[in-house]
Amino acid sequence: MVGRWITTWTLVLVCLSGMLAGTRAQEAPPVDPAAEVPSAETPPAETPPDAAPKAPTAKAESELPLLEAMEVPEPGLLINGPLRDWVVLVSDRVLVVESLAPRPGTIEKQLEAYEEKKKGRAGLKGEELETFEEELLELNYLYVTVPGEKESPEYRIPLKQIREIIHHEDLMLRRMQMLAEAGNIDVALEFLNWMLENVPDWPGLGEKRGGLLMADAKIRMDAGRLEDALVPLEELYSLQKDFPGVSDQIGNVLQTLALSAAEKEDYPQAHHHLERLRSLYPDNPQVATISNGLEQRCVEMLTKAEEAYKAGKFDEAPALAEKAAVMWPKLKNLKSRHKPLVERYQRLHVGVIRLTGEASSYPIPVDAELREENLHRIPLFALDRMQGGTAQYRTRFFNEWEPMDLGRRMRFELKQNRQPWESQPLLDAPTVVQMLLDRTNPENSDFDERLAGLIRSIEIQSPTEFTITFERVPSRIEAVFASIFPPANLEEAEGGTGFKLVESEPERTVYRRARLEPAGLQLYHAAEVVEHKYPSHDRVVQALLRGEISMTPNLPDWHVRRLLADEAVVKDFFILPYAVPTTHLVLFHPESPAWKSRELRRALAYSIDREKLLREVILRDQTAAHGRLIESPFPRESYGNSLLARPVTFDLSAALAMSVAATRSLDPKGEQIPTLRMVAPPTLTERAAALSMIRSWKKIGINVELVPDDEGPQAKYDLIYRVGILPEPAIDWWPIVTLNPRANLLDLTQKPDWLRQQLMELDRTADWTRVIAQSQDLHRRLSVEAAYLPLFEVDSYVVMRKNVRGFPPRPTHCYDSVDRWTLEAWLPGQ
Amino acid sequence: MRSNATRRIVNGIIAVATWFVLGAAAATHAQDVAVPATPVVAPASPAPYTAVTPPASGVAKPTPAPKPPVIPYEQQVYQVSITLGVAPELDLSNGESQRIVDQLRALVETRIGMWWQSRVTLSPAGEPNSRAMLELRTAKSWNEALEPTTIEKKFALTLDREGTEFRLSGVEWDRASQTVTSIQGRTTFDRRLLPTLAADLVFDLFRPLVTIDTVVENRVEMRIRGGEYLPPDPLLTPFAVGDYVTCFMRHLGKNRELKRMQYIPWTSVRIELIERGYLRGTTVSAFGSPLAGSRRRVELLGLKIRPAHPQTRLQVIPRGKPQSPMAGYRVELLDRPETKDDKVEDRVNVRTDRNGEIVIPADPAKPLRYVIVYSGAAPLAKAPLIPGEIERLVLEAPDDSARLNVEAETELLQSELVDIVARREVLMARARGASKKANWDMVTDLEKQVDTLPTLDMFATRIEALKTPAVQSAKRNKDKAQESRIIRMCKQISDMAILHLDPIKVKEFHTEIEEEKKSQ
Repeated sequence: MVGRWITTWTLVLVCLSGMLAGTRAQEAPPVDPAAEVPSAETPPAETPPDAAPKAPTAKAESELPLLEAMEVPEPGLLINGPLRDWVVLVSDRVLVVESLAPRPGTIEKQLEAYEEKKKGRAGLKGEELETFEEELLELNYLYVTVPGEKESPEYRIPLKQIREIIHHEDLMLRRMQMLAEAGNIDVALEFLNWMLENVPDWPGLGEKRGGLLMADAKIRMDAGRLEDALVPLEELYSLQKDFPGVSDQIGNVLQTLALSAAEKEDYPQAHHHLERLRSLYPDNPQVATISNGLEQRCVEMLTKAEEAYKAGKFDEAPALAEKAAVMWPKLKNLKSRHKPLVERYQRLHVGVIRLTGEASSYPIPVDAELREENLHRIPLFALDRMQGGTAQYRTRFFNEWEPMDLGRRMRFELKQNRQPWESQPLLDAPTVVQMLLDRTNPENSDFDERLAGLIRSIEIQSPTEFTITFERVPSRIEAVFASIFPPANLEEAEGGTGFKLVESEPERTVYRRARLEPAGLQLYHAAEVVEHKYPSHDRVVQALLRGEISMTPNLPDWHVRRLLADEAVVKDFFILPYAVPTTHLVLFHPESPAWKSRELRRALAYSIDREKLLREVILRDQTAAHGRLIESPFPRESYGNSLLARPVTFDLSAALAMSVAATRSLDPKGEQIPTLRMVAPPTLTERAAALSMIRSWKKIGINVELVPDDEGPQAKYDLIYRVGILPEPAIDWWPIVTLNPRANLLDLTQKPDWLRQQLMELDRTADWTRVIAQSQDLHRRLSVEAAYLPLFEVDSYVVMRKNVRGFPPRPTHCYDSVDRWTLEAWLPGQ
Repeated sequence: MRSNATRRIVNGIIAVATWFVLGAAAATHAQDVAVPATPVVAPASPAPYTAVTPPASGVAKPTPAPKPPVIPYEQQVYQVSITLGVAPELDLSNGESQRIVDQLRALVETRIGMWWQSRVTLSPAGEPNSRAMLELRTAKSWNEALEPTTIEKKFALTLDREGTEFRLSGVEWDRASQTVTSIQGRTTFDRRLLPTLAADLVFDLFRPLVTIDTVVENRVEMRIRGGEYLPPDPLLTPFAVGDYVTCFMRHLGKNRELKRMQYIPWTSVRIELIERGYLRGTTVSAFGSPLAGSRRRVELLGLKIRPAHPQTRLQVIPRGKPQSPMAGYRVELLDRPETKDDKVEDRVNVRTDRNGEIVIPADPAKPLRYVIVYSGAAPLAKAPLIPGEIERLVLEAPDDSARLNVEAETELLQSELVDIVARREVLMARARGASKKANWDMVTDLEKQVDTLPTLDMFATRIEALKTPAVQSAKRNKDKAQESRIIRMCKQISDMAILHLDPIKVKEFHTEIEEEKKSQ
């Protein structure tokens, strides 16, 4: 404190010295030790010229401004400037001094101190009494520092000469009032916040705060921002329920809001405002009026739904019933009337961030496009689970597939019937055989070189049986068939197969079961999937909790963890991990400089702090409970992982060295590596991770730009941030190297001979032990080559309300077997 | 008009009689003639031979038959059989079929003259009468059927229908080479053209035989069988300059019976000079000296190459591993051999597919192609071939897997080497920087990091572990080229390691740091 005094004194002295210099030159020296405030009665005491500050003379006091002439300092000075208090003398003159202490009530506290001190006089004698008297006398004075005085800024003023002290904070309150009156609420609130933060107990602050909040609310109301006006009003109400007018204002606003939301058919909002209004004013007539209106609407809507149901318009009824339930969930008998309507034609509401068809620079199906594909088609063999590092498959199409002649031939028996809920086509042998033949015909657009190299001939035994004779015994025919989808145009007469896109709007997309379940069943299954778009994952979670949606497929991990930690959520929702973790990695385009320079790939790999990226960007969890670093493109438990593979390490020095080497290898002049283009999935987390990596690469002089989504799917890029599941190394090594989902030998033209031969050998090998050995050897070699940049694998989760039944316990994707799901009737607030 | 059955019986009797007579003649001839040339008539089957041989215990010693005159090869005519099978669904009457055969006979005799002694008949029962049946017959089945006869060239023609057109199909069987051509065909809507088209087909199928007399380096002298009998039709002149002849050897027994056939692969002779029945040509081969001329019991013969297919599908496989065709290998096609003066810039580059196959189209203007199979930049196999001669060919190349493995591992070693050197340089630079600032803790730490980097000894051990089994594998395969390439690759990476991982550099670094420490 003393230090501040001295510093302030030094600074302000410069200002005041100019003003008072002439006067002081003619006056007597100041009193000792501190100058007494000049007065008409008390002449200044004599002090050594260099011992204490000089005191203003009587003339000087008269030069002090009168209180009425003083103006409240400007807001900027008050907020940002030094604290200045006004000492108002009995003569109504004002001396501006540096901030006093204690504050507030400086004089009162000093008088109290004086009285307290006086009590200690009894029993004192001699020198002690003398000292005591001196100290007591000192308490009759207020010591102040006048800013601007260069030489002797400290003065003492007899307390009896002081009428009042107006502190800096008081001046702020005055300015706050002035600002509020001028309508400048924002600055006034800034004053308020400053004071609440620094001097929350300042006398008068409470009253001023109430007035200010009320003024703020009034301005917002006048601007038609009723929702916003509730904020200051509720704050005020929570502080001071009896503040004049606050209660009425809240009532009016809530009533208006409830009516307005009801008019806009935003019923949850209307209920929300209505409930708040009811809790505040249970007897408000508007509460009953609005409630009755909503109930009436609900009844009408429900009746309409029942009429549609009776008319056989099962697809129309649930939408109306759902709407009715949202309008007035408290309706009597709503549950019993609602249930048959929504269970006959079940609609699954899903909350997502992105819908299919939205712009994306990503060249392969991901996110919304992948969801659409999963709804639309089922492959001949679909991934079921990982067991001991090996992918296991299931099929909807075959009863049996039996190897014969030591695997050189395989007999397939197709299913002859299907359950009413099954949405896949019912295939016959000629259709499947034609499908396979198309893939073995080089002239056909579906030509699959790998399959063509496998199949020697196909023989149809009966409408449901066929036998394939293989050119070479395949290691796993299921893995090869996993990429074969039945044609989309089957069973057109019955509407088609799978779930088809029927409605696409900016805010939602509707997929409908192409072939509806027949009438008269005991139990029906999901008939429609409605994807609702939300601006953020926060809103998705909110919608989930409010009952707007029943499921959300890919929440970021921090949301998942929060939901898992919430007992109420766990009670109401299934939070299921997918069967296989999602793998994140960066791949290099075969025509990119990145593929041509091993040093560049190394530089890119060394400069990424994967651990940090995983913890801070992907998971936002320092424990990284749902994610792990990986060293291969496959799940950590996969059979294709080699222990001899070279791990990717974060080493900026090495990255820099490699970057320099890459510059030399790519550009003979050694000037600069060309700017690389990177594509990333159109999902928020992955794009954030991509941007983070780009920043890391920039540090070592490698410029990478993220291709904006509005540029559309890119065919030419250098790096791709790949997110997905790669469960089968025997099949998936090829697309990792070539970036082509089909195994075309021509794609390997630019690759080293050994890599081409090893990939071919992997394709040709029938012995599973050798397949494993070759996959692992490829992993070892490609890891040294830095042919890919493995990042991490993340346990992703799907969250669905517990009224959804029939899904696999560990789904492989968010719509795994969706045609089998059932949705029990559920009402918001149930 | 005689019935068809009667005609067949009569024909059969004539054929049997001819067979007996010629068989006996052949047996006699085989005993007497020692000229290294194909006999005028083929050796007869043992049964007829036995039938005409006199009993061992004879009353009177038979008078030796006069030695038949030795007929020079270029004056030996072909014993030719041409048969026409008519598909029953054509509903051609016997008379109609016979008329076609008669017209065909007339055309053949008119155009070929004395060069052939030909018999043109309708196909006997059991011989193909449609293209489908023709396709079912293999060279082996033709050999088995025709070996007992005296026929030297057999043209089996069939007449059936393809859509609304008549379709003539045919193959040529050759006794000397024991081979059959692939099926060729002609189609027409006009029945009247059938004899003419059949004659054309026969002459297109015909592969004239040559005997290779002398071979000096790659210069070859040959004689055309029956080459002295110039055909009346100038279009049927057997050879022209630029034609190619494929070569084969007949290994004969004591009695000049055929013991073994040996085809000389990837070898042909280009005709450069024709003087009536004499030919001179140059050998074109994948081998150094594939031909050695005829010897006592070895006949070196040739057949004119007639590319009948629009293309040849060539499959490249590693030697001894037919189940692992060489997929994705670079193949260059040259239309002339590469010389010092002519580097053949206009090469066609192709890559083998998953089955190790490439398709080489036939080009009448440039019939010969040179195929070079590469592994990386090194040629693995070179061979000349005439596209269209054979529909499918298999070329065996040295198994390159050991070398590829070494190439992969040396690339990885090189990659690691670059990495180590870069890391070491960065660590050294940081240590020098830290020593300038007297941050000795950091210097010590960095020095430790430099010391933990892989050393030259470690690299040398790895290179040796890589080299030894690969070299042994190449030695086992007797592939010296591969062995030397493996050794060269290992040496290259070893030299690089010695250059960059010289321990002296690390020692100098430590000394430098030590001196810096002392100077401060």
